[in-house]
Amino acid sequence: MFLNNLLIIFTLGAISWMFVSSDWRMRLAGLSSLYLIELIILLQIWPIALASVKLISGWMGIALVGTAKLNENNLSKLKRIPSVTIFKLLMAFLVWMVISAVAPSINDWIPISFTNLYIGLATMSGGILMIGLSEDPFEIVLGLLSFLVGFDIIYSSLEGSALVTGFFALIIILICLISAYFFTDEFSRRD
Amino acid sequence: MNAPFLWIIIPTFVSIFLLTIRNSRIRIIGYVASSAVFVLLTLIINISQIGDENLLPFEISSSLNMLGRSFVLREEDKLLVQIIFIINTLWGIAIFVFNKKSLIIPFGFVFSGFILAAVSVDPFLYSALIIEIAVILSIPLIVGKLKNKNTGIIRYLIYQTLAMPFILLAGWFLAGGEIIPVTQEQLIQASLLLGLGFVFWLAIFPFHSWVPMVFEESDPINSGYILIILQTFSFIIINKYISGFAWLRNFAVFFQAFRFLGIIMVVYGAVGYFFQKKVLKMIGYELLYSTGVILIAIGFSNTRGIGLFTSLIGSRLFAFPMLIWSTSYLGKKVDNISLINSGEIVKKEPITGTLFIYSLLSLAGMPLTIGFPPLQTMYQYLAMDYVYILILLLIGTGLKTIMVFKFIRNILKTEIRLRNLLVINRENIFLFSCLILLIIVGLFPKVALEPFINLSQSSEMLLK
Repeated sequence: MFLNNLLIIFTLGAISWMFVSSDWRMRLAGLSSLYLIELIILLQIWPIALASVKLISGWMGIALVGTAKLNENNLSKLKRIPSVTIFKLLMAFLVWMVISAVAPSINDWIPISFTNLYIGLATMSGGILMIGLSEDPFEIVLGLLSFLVGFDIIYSSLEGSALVTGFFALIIILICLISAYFFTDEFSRRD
Repeated sequence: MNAPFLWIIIPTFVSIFLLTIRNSRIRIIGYVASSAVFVLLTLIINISQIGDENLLPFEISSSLNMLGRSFVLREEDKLLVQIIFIINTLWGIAIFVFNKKSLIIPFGFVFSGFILAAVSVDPFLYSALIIEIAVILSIPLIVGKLKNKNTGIIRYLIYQTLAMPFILLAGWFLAGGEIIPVTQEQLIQASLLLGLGFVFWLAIFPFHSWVPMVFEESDPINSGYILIILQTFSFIIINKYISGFAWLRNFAVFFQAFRFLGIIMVVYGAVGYFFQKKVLKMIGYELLYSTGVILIAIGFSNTRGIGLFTSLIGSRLFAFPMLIWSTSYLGKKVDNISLINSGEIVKKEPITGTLFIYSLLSLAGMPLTIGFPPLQTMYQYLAMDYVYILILLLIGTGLKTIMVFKFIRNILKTEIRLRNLLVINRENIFLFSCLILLIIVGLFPKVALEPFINLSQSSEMLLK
């Protein structure tokens, strides 16, 4: 019970950190901690070999995005207006409150551990907010990856298949590769 | 040797091999030749069922096992393989003729390989994952190097990614329903999830905005290739889903939703088409309109609906590439093709202009074109059962037709010089051949559309 609550708090903390932080490195660190949380959750239901695929593919993807960002010309920190950050955070908290209210009834549809479901939904909603509230390709990629982490937590709790795990890992790495393509394109355009 | 290895894995390796060739002309020739060989192989080789003895020397098994799951391409799936590789061959020729730089050569094989894998994966619930991989791989093919904006392409990635979780979850629900009898509530939940997935997949209102944007942001020869293959095969997979689960195909509300979404797309696509001045965006609205028409056909939920679906897919596969090629070639001549300057462009390129107009007429379902018989049949079916949908469809098609006539009016205003008509170059020869083909299939639509009837094999349960 204690571990479950701790995992929920850490998840919400990591997503909030991704919203608040203006340094892209810190935001990638937030995402990588989401992958770590996913591993801890999946270790309870999956063998370590299969569960670690999630962590490895996620971190490999983050390394790819990080490398692409490093090669970008403009490495200055993102200027964030405090009111925008507060708005995003408040919106996230509002969505999480709604999830807290509806999660028990969703749990009737999807019969998995409540912690897994809550963490999955919270991460998915965080990802959708990131996608929806920004036009920056980096933020959109972070949002997509967060969304997929959330979904992966829910779906992996329902079904454990080596093929699905393999394809999911491929999807994560490909999204990160494509994001690198977008950043490089942006970079070359600036030149 | 097995069919998935031959038509999914080998083309991927061919693609990697072609990447090592530096000379772009040799690479294109290699791509077109190997693609044509893959089509020929479908005619020579028979696919035996799992466990069958190989009686002929040219017979291969249908199944490839991978990570505990299998990819199965049966004899009746050969049409899908043929469609994919014929599109690849013709697209390769078009890229060669127009002298375009496109990543379709050689990555088109990888993209189409994943699309075929999505259709052939067993259980087919996992097709959403493979489609997602194909979508991600298609991004570099669509992104233009010199383009300033990629908003539509990013939206394409987002919406297609959002589709995957819904379809996977719905698949899990549906698979559960095969074991334990489902309640009405569960049926609604599964249908909602599946419906949401399809809405994202097929760019249905209100998640459609990226389609015209993608066409505007990239060369239509790239976006057209990706979207025509993706949409055609998404429809085939959707039919597989509906056909595969007894409790879903007997759920009337699901088909009502298809008809409803279909008519929304028809009206929305036609209105967007009508008010659009830029030809590139117009192609996007054309795709939305035709998506709506096909959705209505699926919404009939019976044998006639499936028959109509195959004809509509067939007619679109004939006319849409012609529209794409003619627009792409005209785009080489003029930066911004629009209704306003269409007359001037056609004056310079009369053969391309004629193909452009004829393909628009075909897609609008005008008589003596390939689009006429399926749309006419749809009018008849709708007149019998759904008059309101018929009226809206007629309004939509009417708007499209008015727009095509506006183009014709602008062209007729200009004086076409005979010397422009007689220019013999490889572009004109290719486009003129396309025009002749489109006219012939328009005159003999039954012959042209008959092979597509086999597409209904993937939805055999809907035919019963």
